[in-house]
Amino acid sequence: MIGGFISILRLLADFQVDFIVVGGVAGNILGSARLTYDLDLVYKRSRVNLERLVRALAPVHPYLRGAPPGLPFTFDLKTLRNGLNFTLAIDLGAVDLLGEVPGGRTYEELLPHSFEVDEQGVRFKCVGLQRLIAMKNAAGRPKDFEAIAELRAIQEEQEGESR
Amino acid sequence: MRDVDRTLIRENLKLTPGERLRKLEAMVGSAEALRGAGARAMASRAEWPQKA
Repeated sequence: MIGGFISILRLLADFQVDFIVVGGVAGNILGSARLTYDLDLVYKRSRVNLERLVRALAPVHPYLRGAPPGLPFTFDLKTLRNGLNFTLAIDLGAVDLLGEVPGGRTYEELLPHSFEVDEQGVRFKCVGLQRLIAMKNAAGRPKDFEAIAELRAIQEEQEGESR
Repeated sequence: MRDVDRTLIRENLKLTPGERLRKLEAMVGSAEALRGAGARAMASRAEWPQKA
C-alpha cells in the first residue's frame, strides 16, 4: 500500500509521537501540486519519543523499503538509537523517519520553523515554506531544484495575495 | 519562475492545508489505479496472438 498519509499521521498522533512533516507532503500541504508517494518525517530523538515511535509503528510491520525480504531488521528502541534516518515501508504506506536533515537539521532546530495542522482532529506539525526551501536547497538533488522553483512560486503567490 | 504552472498552485492555495493533504492522497490513489490498469493492459496485450 502507498499514500496512506493521513492514516500514518493519525497513528503517530494517537501515540503522541513528536515529529514534523517535511519533504513532498509538506510541499503539498503548503500548496505544491507535485505528486509524492512517501511521507518524510523529522522525529525527536529523545528516549521517550523513540519508545512512542516503536509502540506506534511496530504493529504495522516496518521494514527497510526496497530491501530484499528476509533481512534481520527489528524495529525496536535499540535499532532507533543506533541509527538515525530510516527509509521504511509499513502496512499503511511509505514513511521516511529522519533524525537529521540537511538544511533543517534536527527536530528541535526545525520546531520554531513549523506550524500546526489540524486535519479532522489529527494534529501534527509541518515545516514552513521558507525552511522547506532551505532544506531542498541544502539537499541539492535535481528533483529538489524543480521543487524549489514551485515553492518559490508559491511564496510569490502568497506575497501577491498579502499586498 | 516562468516554467511553473501557477494555475495549479492558485487552486491549491484556495484550499486549507488539510484539504490539500486529502487532495494529495486522492491523487496518489488515482495514480496508483491508473498504473495498475496500465500494467494489466500491457500484460493482456502481451498475450494477444501475433499477426503473421
